[in-house]
Amino acid sequence: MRETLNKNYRKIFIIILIIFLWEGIYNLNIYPQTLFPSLTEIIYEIVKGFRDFSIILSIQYSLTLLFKGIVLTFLLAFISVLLSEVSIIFNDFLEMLISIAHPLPGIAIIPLVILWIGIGEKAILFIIIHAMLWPVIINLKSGIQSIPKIYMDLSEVFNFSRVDKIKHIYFMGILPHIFSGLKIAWARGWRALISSEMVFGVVGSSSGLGWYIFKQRVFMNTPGLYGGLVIIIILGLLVEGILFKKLENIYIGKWS
Amino acid sequence: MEKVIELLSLNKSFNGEKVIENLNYTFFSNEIVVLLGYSGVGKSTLLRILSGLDHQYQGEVKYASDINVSKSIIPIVFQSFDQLLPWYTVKKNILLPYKKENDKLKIFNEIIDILDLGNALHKYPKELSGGMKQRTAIARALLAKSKVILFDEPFSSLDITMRQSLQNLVLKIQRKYNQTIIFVTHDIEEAIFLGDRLLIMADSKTRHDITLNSENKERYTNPFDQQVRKVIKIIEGSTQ
Repeated sequence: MRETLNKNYRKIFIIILIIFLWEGIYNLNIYPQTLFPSLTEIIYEIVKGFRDFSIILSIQYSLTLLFKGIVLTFLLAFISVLLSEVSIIFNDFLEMLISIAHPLPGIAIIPLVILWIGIGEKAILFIIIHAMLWPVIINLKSGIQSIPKIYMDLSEVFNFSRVDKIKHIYFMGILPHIFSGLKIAWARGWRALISSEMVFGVVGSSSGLGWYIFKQRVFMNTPGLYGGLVIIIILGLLVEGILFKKLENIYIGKWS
Repeated sequence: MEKVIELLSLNKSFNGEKVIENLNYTFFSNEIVVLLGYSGVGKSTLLRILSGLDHQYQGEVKYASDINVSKSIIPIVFQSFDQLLPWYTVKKNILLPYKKENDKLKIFNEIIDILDLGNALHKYPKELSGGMKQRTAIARALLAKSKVILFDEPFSSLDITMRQSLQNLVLKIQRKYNQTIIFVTHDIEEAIFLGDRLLIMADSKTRHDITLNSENKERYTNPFDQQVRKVIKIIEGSTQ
């Protein structure tokens, strides 16, 4: 408890230090003010973005898209892992596909995606799913491999049905890996989303945080650009540090 | 006495190496048979065959007419403390295999009392001691109300006090429920204390069947007794 408290104080101290450092550099006029705005200007731009709803709409668009991507990724991952458990040939195929596709950065396939899918929401979804799917599959597969053999023996001895085996042994056994997969998916998907939004820009009448930042640069609104970055950092911290931790505590904290 | 399981010319090999050769043996109702021998001699393999976990053998395993090995549960209590599902509480671990059977509640309460698990029902396995974990596994096995319960060295990882208390518990529950218990161990004292009969497995072919009664049990527990020395010699011979 004391250790956590001290750590939190240290974190607050570091944040205050960064703020002072930032303002110090700004006031020394080392860099042009168009490149290095003051914190007040950045905060003003963030508040302005919230007031005219532009930031809120961008956050909503980006998070909705990422949520769709995560759901589809896990759906595809579960189906693939299930099929690879029942078919050796599919398993070999999947392993080969992973070794080919996993090292390929999402941004590298953008030209190909434009040719095949165009520049709409589907294209962004394709890129973020590509970024998330392979590590999630690897994670789920290693989760299944880590389930002790004795649980399989137990399910045989106590005549578990196939559904019970999936529900009580496989699903519960890989739950910690689902959470770590979710964290990886979030981290990779979030990055891929922001970068592909910058490339694809406005889709219909909506656009995400990536485009928000890009737009600020085009209009040379550097404080707004920094503001967008701050929002991305805060969202990342909120999801990883609070939401995922809370969910983990609820579902696996009691027993793991 | 009713025959519960009969083994006829049972043979089992692993990668061409014979582990059990031509075993003929009968387990009767309401007795504790202890399979005694050193590691690797085929005791646990035999238990896996009896429970229906291993079907790759030659020969015949005949069960009593009211045991259908593919449908009935022939429960095992394993050695490993990992035999409980860590994501469920003690209560759920015990009741999970029987969730479709509504008539288990009365016997559940009775078993919980006997095994003194009342205070642990809502705990998770990580919060339990080794002894409590094994008690939970025994409760789960007992709830099957099977004619036979298999124990695969369940107490070998426990300290001596806990081991003795659980050995007494096994005797108590066997007397109460009149089940056939097939108990694997490599501990001679445990075998003599628990067993009505000992099946000493020296190697894949050499076996000795000893019936124990109150008279010779006392003699066998004396480490200087000639018969005990003979048993020890047989078992030690299996490791050479």
